[in-house]
Amino acid sequence: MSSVDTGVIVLILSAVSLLLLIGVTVSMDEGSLTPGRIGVLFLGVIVVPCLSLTFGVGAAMDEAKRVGFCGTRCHEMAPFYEDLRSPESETLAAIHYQNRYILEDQCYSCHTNYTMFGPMEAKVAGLMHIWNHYAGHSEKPIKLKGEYRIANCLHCHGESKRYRESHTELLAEIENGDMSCLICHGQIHPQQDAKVDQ
Amino acid sequence: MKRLRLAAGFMAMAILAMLACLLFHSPLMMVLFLTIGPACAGIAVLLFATGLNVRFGDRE
Repeated sequence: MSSVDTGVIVLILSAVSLLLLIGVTVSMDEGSLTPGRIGVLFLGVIVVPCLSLTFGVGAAMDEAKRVGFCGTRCHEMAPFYEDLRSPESETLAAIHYQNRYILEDQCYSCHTNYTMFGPMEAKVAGLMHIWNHYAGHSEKPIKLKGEYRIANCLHCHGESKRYRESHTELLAEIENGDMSCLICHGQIHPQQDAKVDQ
Repeated sequence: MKRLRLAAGFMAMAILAMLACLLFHSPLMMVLFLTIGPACAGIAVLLFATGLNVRFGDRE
């Protein structure tokens, strides 16, 4: 199911939920609560709104994966987003983006660890970025927290015939983590101005 | 009955937070939805359960 479909479902469910909530609230009276009425209340106040919220969280998470969300909604990411789309750019990220080596959600695909809790860690890191922005803690140049995991590169490239044939001598070192792809493969993102963003 | 109305109000607040998040596509709205949404939904469920006098566990 595409995220567009999810968005439409969420909007329909939200409209139904709000109508039910208004209807239930207006029709409530001090009379006795029969099992039938309790069932209607339960459906209108709990079941349908919770279903709508569940779909809503999924749609919000999908939206947060998009390159446009990272690049146009966060001011700190604007130079990286512009670089991705710039025809003159030769950074590794731009090459991956412009040639569609990664079909969609390119930021998310490279910056989320392919581990059990990777997506959750990425969301928590995103929340911290927002906190840092609004609390005035964001600094330039922005830095990646910790070291970049080469396993994320190998997730796509690791079993590629072209990669394996052209890296025969380095395969063991790369896979053991003794050698980083970033040593040889140039500039990943554009250089940033070294000034504090307040 | 008052608690049931409050429960409906809190659930409506959660839905509105979600709609704001999805319509504005803003990171701040997303944070607000992901914090306010579950909190409001949780409070609504509690208010609904207490409003109906639902009792958990052994009644004796």
